[in-house]
Amino acid sequence: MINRSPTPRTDLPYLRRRIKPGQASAAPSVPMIATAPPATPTSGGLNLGRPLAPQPPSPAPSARQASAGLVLGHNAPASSANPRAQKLKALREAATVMDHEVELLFPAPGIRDIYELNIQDRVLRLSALESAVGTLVVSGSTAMAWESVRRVTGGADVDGHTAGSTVMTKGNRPLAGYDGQNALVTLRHIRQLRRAIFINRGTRPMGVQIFSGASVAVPPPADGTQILVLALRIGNVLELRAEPVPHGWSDLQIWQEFDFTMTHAAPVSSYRR
Amino acid sequence: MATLVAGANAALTVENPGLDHVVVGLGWDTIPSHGPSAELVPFAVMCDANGVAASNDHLVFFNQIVSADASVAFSGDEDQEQIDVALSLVPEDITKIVFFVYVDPDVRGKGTFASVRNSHIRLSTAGDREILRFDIPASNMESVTALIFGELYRHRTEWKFRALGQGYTTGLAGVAKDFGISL
Repeated sequence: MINRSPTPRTDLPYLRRRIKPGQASAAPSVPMIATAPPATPTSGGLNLGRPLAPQPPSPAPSARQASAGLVLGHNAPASSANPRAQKLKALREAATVMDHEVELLFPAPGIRDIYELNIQDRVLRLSALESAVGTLVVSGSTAMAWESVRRVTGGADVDGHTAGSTVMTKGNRPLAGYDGQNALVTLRHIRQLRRAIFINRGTRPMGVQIFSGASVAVPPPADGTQILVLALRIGNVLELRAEPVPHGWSDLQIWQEFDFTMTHAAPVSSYRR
Repeated sequence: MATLVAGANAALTVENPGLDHVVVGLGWDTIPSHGPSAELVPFAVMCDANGVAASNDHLVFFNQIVSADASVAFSGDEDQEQIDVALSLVPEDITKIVFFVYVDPDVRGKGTFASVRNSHIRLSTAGDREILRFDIPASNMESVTALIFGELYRHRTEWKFRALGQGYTTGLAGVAKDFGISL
């Protein structure tokens, strides 16, 4: 059957590009610049597809320059369209946001600036490096709780009782937990931690120590008040805060007060698909 | 692509005219373990004319992924870690950038490079064309707890790279002492 229709058929894929002689001028005039499909800016490859609809001319020629697929230079600079450059840009922006977040914090002493966290000196802040190397060791605590950035929450005490969920790290060590008499936080994976709290029901002070050996003391309960240590990660720094609460409060009350809600891992089944 | 041996150097920008951006890939293979294992941490230090860290803002590692001047940044994990260096953005007062890896000093067992079967540092362009590579010999690593893989350094107006493979038995503390890093 011969197609005698005066207009080109567009329902047949192999005829879509066909324009009858003499009718080319009747087709809407589309500037070349408008025929570039929107998905091409980052693809350097050959695209034979026809755009579904004319696109307005791009006001930013630099966006199209990146689609010029052939680059003869060996050391082409990382243009804005290079996926690595885009990733790097995103990283830098994220780091800038994080820096800004830290810049917004009020000034606080470092761990070498004070000897004791107490009612007067209630906060200290570690540097990015101090917050990331080795282990945060809290001695003298009797119980602790932790919360990861994914809100996985757990608790433990010095006698070996546990609640909630353990957060394991790549090195096959828990992110936070007890090792003997000391409560530990694995600083290599500090980015996984949101916060941790340390409770002292003993009669001796607590001590918090970092890799460099720098440490700070926290007084034992007195006058009906116990002082907890809240370790809170803000951006890339760890802040240690002294939090006074009534001595009579149980661990459960403290968890509730600071909104540590224990999470539970689903039981593992042997069923596999 | 050139392969270097320990102590050798390569004239990066002389041999690659127009090169203003390199990707430094640090990689290693470790013996798998079900128990607590040594955790290797890559690190970059931007040094001044005295050969020490210009400041703690001039360190790039997992908790500070971009230098203050934005010239050095962690960028990927095709190797264990990749660090982008925009050579043209590196401040004039930075004379070298040292790349090392340390074993995290966890109190529950510090670990060493003994479990590392092989390691390498390689430099490539932004377009992922490998320029050079240094495979670090895996001998006598039982007591090594930090290892300097190599360094980018200025030579007059050009940039060069030196393969090092220098081990420390004193870990991050030893490297920090040598490069004036305040821990």
